[in-house]
Amino acid sequence: MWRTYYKKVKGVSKLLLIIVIVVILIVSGIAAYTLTQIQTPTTSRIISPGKLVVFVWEDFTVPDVFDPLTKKYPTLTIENNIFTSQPEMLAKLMGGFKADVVSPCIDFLPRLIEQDMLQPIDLARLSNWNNIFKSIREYPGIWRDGKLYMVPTAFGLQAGVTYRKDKVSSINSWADIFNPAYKNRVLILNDARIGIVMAAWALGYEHPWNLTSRDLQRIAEFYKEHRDVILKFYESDIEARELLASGDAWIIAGSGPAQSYWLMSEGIEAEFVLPEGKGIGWLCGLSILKASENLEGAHLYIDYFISEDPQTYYAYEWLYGPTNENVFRKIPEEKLKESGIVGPETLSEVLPLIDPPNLDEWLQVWEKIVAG
Amino acid sequence: MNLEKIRRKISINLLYSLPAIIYLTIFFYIPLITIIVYSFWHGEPLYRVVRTFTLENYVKFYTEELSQNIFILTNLISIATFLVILATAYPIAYFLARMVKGDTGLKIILLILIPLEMNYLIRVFAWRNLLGENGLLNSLLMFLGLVEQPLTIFFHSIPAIIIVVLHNALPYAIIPLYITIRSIPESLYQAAMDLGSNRISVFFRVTLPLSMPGVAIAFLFIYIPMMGEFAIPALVGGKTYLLGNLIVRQYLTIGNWPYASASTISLILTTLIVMFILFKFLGVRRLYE
Repeated sequence: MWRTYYKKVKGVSKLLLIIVIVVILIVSGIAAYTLTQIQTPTTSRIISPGKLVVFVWEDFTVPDVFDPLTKKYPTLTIENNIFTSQPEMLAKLMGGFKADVVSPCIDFLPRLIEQDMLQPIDLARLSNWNNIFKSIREYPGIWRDGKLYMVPTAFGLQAGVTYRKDKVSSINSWADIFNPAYKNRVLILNDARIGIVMAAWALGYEHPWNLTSRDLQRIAEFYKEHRDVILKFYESDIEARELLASGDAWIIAGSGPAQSYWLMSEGIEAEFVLPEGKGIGWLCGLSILKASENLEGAHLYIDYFISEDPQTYYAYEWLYGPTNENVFRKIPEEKLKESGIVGPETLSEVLPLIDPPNLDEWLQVWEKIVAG
Repeated sequence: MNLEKIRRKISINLLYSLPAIIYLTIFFYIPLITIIVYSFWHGEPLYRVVRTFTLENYVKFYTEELSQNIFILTNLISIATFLVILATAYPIAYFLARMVKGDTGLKIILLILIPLEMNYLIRVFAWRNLLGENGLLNSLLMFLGLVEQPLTIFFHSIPAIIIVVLHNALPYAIIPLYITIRSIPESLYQAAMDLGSNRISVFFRVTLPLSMPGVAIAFLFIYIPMMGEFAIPALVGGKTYLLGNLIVRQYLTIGNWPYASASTISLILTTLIVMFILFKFLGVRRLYE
C-alpha cells in the first residue's frame, strides 16, 4: 500500500514540478517582454517621427485641452507623464527620467537651470509669444543670461486666506487667523516656505525671505503658542475645500482665490482676502529639457498651450490667470471679480515664491512646527 | 537514503521554492538592501545625496528630540490602538469560539471580513464624514440629547485615528484569537470545573493563558502596520504627526532620502525586536508546531 502511495506522490510531484517550470517560463517571458516595452522610451529612446514625451502637471492632460491638440497635430504622438508635486518632478528628473518638455513653476525653475537640465527656448518658433503680457514676457525669473528657459502659461495668487463668512466675521490681518476663538478651525498649508511666511507676516516681519535663525525660532515658538487654533496642516486644495464645506474648518490659510469661488458655487458663504494686501504670487509654464530629441514637437506643444483656446479653457474652468493678453481682455469684468483672477500687475505687488537663502534651515524648522 | 536521493530531493525543493525566492529577491530583498545602503549615505533636502559612508542619519534619528518624540508618540498610539482593538475583539472571538456551535463562528468571521473588500481609502473617507462636526456620530448624540454641542474629540484627533484603525484591523485580531481559543481542548475546561473552578477563574486560569499566542499574533498584526501608518493619521488625525508621516515627508516632500531610509530601518528594527520578544516569551511558536 505504501509503495502505491509513494508512486502516486512521486507522480504528483513530477506533475507539480512540470507545472512550476512552465509557470516560471511563462512569467519570465511576460516579464522580459514587459521590461523591454518599459525601457524603450527611457533608455534606448528610439523616437518615432513626431514622438514627444512630456512630463507635466495633470492640468495639461485634460481631454478638453489635450484632444484638440492631438487633432491639430495628428503626426505628433504625445506621451503624457504626470507628476503631482514639484519635489516629485525634480526627484524623477534627477533619477534619470527622460522627457522633452517639463512644466515647472517659477520657484523650481532655478533648480532645473542650475542642475543643467534645461535648454533655451527658441522664441522664433513660438507664434503666440507676442500675445503674452509684456510684463510676464519680461519677468526676470524666466530668463538666465539672456536666454529664455520657461514660457509662462498661467499665473495667480496663493498664500491668501479663504474663510467662511457665516462663521468668521472678518479677516483683516495675518494675526487674525491665529485668534484663539478659532480653536481647531484653521487649516494651514503644509509648505515650509508659505507656512513660515504667513507666520512672519502675523509677527510683523516686512521681508519674510530674509529670516535669520533667531527669527525662525521665534516663528516656531509662535506656532507652538497658537497650535490650538490649527485643525491640520493640509496638503491638497480639494481636502481643504471639503473640510471648509463640511464646517469642520472655518479658515484656510495659504489658499488661492479659487477656493472661495468653488465654495460659493456650492452655496457656501466664503470670501478670499489678502490680509494687509500681503500674499504670494505663482507663475508656472513649460520648459524644454536638455535631453529633448524632438525640438520641433516641443515648441509646437508649448506654442499650443499659450494659444487662445487652451488659455480660455484654463481661465474659465480652472480659474488660472491667462498669460495670453487677448484671452484676459475677453474675460468679462464680472467673471474676473467672482473668480478672483487678477491681472499680471499683481505679480509685482505681491511676494514672489522663491527659495530663501537658508532653505535647509526653513525645512528643518517647519518639520518641527508640523510635528508640534 | 543515499546521497543521490538527498541531492535530488534538495534540487526538487530548490526548484519548488524558486518562484518565492525570485519574488522575494525582486520585491523585498533588493529594495531593502537599497534602503540600507542609502541610510549610510550623507543626505540633504531636495534629493542631494553624497555617497560617503556616515552614521549621521542614525545618530540624528536616535538623538534628536523631534524624532524621539514622534517615535514615542507613535508607539503609545500603536499600543493604545491595540488595547482598544483587543478589548473589542476578544469578547467577539470568545463568543464565536466558545458559545456558537459548529462552524457558524467561521461563517460569521467571513461576514466580518466583507467590509475589508471595500477600498481602504474610501473606508477612511467614509469615517471622516461619520466623525465630523456635523457627522452621523455627533448628530446621533445630539438627537439622543446626550450632548448639546457637537463633540470635537472625534474629528481630526488621536481618538479618530484609533476608531478608524479599530474598524480596519478588527478582523485581523478576531481571527487569531478565534483560532487559539477554539484550539483549547474541551477537556481542560471540564477538568478545571471538576476541580472546583467557576467560570471566571476558568477564564483567567485556562482560557486567557492559553490564548496568549493569539493575543501576540493580534498584537503583531496591529502594532506593526500601525507603526508605519501614514494615511489614516493624515486623513483623520488632524495635526497628529506619526513616524509614517515623518518617513513619507522625508522621502517625498523634503527629499532627504538617506535620513528617510535610516528612519525606515530604525522602524523595521523596532518591529523585529518586538517580534523577537513576543515569539520568545508568549509561546507564539505553539501556533504552528
